[in-house]
Amino acid sequence: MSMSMYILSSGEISALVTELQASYDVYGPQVEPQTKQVFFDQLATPAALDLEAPIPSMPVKEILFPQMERILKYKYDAENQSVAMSKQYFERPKALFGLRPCDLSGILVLDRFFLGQEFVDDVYLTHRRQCLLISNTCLHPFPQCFCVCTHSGPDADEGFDLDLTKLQDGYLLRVGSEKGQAIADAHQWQVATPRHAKEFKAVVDRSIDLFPEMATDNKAWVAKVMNRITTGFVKQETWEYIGDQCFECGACSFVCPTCSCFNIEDTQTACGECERLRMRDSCSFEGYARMAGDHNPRQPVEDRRNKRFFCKLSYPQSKKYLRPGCVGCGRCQWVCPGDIGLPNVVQYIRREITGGQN
Amino acid sequence: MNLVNYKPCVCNLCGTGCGQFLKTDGHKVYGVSPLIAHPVSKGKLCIRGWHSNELLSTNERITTPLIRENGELREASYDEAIALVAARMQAFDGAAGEIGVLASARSSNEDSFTLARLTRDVFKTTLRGIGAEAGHRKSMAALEQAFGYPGAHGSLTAIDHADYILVVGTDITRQNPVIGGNIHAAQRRGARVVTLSSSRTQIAKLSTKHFQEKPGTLGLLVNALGKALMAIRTVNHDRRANIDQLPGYADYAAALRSISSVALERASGIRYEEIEEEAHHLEQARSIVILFSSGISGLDRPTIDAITNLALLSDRMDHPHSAVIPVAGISNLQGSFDMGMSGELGNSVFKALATPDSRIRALFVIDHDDGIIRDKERIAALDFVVYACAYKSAFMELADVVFPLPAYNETDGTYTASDKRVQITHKNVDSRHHVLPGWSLFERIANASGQHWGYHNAAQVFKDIAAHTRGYGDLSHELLSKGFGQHWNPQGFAGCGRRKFNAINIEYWESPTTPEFPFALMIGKAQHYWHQNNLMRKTIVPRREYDQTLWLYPHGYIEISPDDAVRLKVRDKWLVNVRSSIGTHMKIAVKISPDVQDGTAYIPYFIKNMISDFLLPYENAYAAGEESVIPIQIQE
Amino acid sequence: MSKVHGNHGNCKETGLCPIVTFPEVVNIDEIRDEIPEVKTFYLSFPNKDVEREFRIKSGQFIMCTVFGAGEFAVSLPPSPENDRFHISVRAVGKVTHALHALKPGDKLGVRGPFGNGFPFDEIKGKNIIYVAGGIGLIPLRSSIVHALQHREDFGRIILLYGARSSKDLMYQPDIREWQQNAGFETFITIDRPEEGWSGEVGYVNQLIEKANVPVDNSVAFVCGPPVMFNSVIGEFLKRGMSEDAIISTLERQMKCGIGKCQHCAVGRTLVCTDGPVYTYRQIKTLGEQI
Repeated sequence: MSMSMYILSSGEISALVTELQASYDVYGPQVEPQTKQVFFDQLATPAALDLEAPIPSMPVKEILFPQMERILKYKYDAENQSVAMSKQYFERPKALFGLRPCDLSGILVLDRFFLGQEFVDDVYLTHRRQCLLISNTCLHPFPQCFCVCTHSGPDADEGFDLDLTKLQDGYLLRVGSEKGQAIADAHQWQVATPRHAKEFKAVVDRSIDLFPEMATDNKAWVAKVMNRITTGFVKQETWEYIGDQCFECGACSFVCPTCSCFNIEDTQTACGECERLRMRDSCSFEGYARMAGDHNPRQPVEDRRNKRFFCKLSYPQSKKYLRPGCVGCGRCQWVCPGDIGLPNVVQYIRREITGGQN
Repeated sequence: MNLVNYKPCVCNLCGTGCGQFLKTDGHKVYGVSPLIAHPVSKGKLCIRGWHSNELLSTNERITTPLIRENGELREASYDEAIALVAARMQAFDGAAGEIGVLASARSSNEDSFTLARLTRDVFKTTLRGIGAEAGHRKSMAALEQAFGYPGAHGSLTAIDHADYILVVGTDITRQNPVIGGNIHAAQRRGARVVTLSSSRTQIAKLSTKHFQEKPGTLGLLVNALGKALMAIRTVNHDRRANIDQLPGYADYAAALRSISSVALERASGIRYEEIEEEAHHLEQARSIVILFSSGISGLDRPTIDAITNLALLSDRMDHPHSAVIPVAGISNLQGSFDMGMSGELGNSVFKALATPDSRIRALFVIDHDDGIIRDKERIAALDFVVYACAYKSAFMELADVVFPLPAYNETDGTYTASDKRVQITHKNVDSRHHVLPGWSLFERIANASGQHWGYHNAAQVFKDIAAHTRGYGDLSHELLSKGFGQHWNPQGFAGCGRRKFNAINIEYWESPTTPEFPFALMIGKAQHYWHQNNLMRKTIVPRREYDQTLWLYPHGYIEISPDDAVRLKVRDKWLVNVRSSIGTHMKIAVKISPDVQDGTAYIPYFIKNMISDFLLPYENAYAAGEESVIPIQIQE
Repeated sequence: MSKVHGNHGNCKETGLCPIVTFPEVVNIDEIRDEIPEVKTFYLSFPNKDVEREFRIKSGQFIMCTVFGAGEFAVSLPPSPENDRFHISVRAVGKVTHALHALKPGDKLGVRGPFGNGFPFDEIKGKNIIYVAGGIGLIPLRSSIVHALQHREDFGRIILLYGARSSKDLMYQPDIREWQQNAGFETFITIDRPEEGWSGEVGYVNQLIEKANVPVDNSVAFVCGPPVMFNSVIGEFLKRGMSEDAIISTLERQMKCGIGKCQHCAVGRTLVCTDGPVYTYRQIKTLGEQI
């Protein structure tokens, strides 16, 4: 399918949001007024959408793979020895409006993981099935961003239904799927010209130029580090150095757009019912791999860290995701109370390779 | 425009006071996000904070007032329960010591303030206390002597800028992980971080320098640092008139001079030369932050005195990036103390309960951790016990009347963090069961007893707090709702600015160990969940992490060094008999750890029998907190 | 590999239709005490359509819900048709203790079967040596039953079994029954001498010598606590057995059973979908403790 492109005014963008709200729950970036923190959350009104807001503080996976959700409810009647069960997750059409390319890549990774292996995860599928994905090119990097090293930005190149880029004349809208084309076909949007396509390319190039040297410089290093991690050649001392800095808070996993580990637990409600909760989990926790009885195969904290970085930066894992597990959003760096966000881990391993010279 | 699902608030799970967002639809809490702009936590949370949603959506809540009838608790209306409490309490003579009030360090300032008023004006008793106050009162007394007001000197944010950070004792990356993270970040930007700790804690590993002293000699070590600092100044002919002339200086200086390097090394295992070298770094620092743990596992008074003295001696305490902070494990320990719920020395509710012939007959208790109930038999034998808490706990079994309370996100309230930062959390979820906030409950009990306070909301209560509480005069809910809280103002205390050295005695601590009881047992070091078990038991992932240790060591564990294990001929997870010199004993598994020194042993606080059976009879140990040492023998 | 989704998978390749997301209700028909702390629960599906579709391979496992307590993973008999559908469970945690408190007639939830199962097609014509320690016999039981049912497919079939004491020996009536089979050799040992015990005393690895175990054209199924596992493997390797011929099943904490939750990640594989049956050569490359 050849990619159609249009130019939309800000008014047309707002109108599109309003129109989508009729048939979708529309989510988008918005700024919390008191703290100025950005969340990708459901829009109360189209006016709340802020397409120029920095990268959202929490990954968009929250909408498709929430921190905690109820998946099943049951009540066991001990006297009659019978049980009544009901499903607790439901399908709703959702439009994710203004996804940063890193978060879009994150969704693609989760899709391939939850839907693309031997088994399909029904809970994720239910949340994901009727999603409209509208991405938004980053005109400049935000602090900690390094998507240029992980092939996930600053512009999106796959997986979106519609994609927006702010140009001088308005928003360039690129169509990425039949679903997106159907929406475009229903409007009288102005078709973009080759000049716009050229401007788009210039905007992306400028954005790449704005990345700090360290981020662009790390590009080759990410590949080298992946090689090291895959082959297991990272020194034990380096893992220990990383492990000593792990506070075991789980934050890196919670803010990672591609971390997919979860826990399942049945809890009693007040009225004798039981809920099956599914909540995000982190391989950095000591109890994560514990078995009932007396055995934890993965005890030292550096082993657990090692596991996570293997998941983000190794070839076997990339094969599952069809890209590196890390999408370069840099959020793990924000939230880590130690200093072992992924960009830093790349640095540490890089330092090991160069023998201390950066 | 406010967001649909994310509401800012303050984490309530330790005394750091981190900023967090709760993801909520106004009925249930679904998730947590850190608050990036918060000046202390800066977008970080620990495992507890990240799982607040699990606690806030637990079903183990008290949902309605309960009255004990024929031995069983039954549901009751507020009117009935309040009338009953008012009537029963009136029958006791508070002034004669028949009523005790046990407050919670997790209550908001509004709740603590109104509880103090209920205690004073309605129950007319002076027998009061806060769950974990013992250690904190010592910290407050030492700080008031040194700086003229009972509270931290400086702000936790000083860590981000200071040249020199001294961590005394505490296992801070476990107990207050976000503060630990800030210290780690400071170390990485070039600050000198020095940890004094008898075991090799995570912060010790992350420090520029770790002094691993023998147990019981923390204070001596701090004083030795003072001696070395003074000596450098003498050599340099560097007189600090402003310091030398402070009250108590001469005695302090004389005491420091009397420290013998030989005796120091024998007692602490640390060579004085090392201390001298460290003192040079201290002398060069422009700003110094000192942190120590306060509360149930806090330090003993002589050690805190040594800390505040060293702070004054450094002559850096006027620098905006200097601080001395008693780090609390519980969210509003400082605030509960400020609101006046701490007991009078020698006349507290704890003393009354512990004294067999005291006149106490009734007890009013807020949110008490079930792992640390002391004098349980005495409480069970009282005529009347009232308990109020958001969550179900073992204390309910001791109560005649039980009231529910809202969780911290179900009502407006302010909390005062370890560094005096007062922060507000606004109600962001409707309490499912129309539970009255604490201040409102106490007001209604006062009403039923014939007093009318006229509070309609928490903001009004806070106006009274501002009017009657030293340091809080400048604050209001309106002000606190903008930004991220504000430190209470020490100028509210007349003594503010008057600095004074605490009197110290140099003692070369003799280990109480004997050939029969050769191990020095230390308590207090634990996993993440130190002292918050009543709450952490109601979560899912943190509870699993907490249980993790007990999965491996189902009978609890005692940590000993690898060499001692060889000497005792025991292996990891083997059960041993631990017997203390006063005769208490328990059976517990061995955990072999390279982080522990030879001749010492650790047992974490959270092991239940440890506290109730083994430790509580050891009165002095409990009082000495983190620095307590019990001589024990360990046998296979 | 075809994909499996919805509540009942339809995997044409294997002909297996696992129950994926929601537990199906099963009835506890009978409960038998095995050794201390271990009970066997005989189960049946009230829904006969589900029961017909519920086909399992030896070596697979199910996720079993104890209503009100939670879910746990447990290994299965070869198939409900030729060996009544049952599970043997040791009470070790919250959920399994809750299971032990149930009575006949109580209901459980079942998802699965999941996992790869034992590679019987690949080992036709070979000798099979089963080595089990303590409750390690539970996951091997289904394989023994299968092997005895297809006795003609294999050479010698030997069971080397050890436990701490005689009362810790699992499935004693079954073992006696299996011994009725022609050419089923058993060697049983307990750790310490005991009054009334006339059998072997010592550790399982010492039985390898006694049984004069053949290493050529043989496969060994080994299951037991880590210490036993390592000493037995050492003994086999010393005798020249190939690492590919040593087979074991791994146990890990599992939450989903379908390769998503990642709790059972071992090295680069997931026990629930890539395992639980591995050769020793595979286990060695996993890079984690057993």
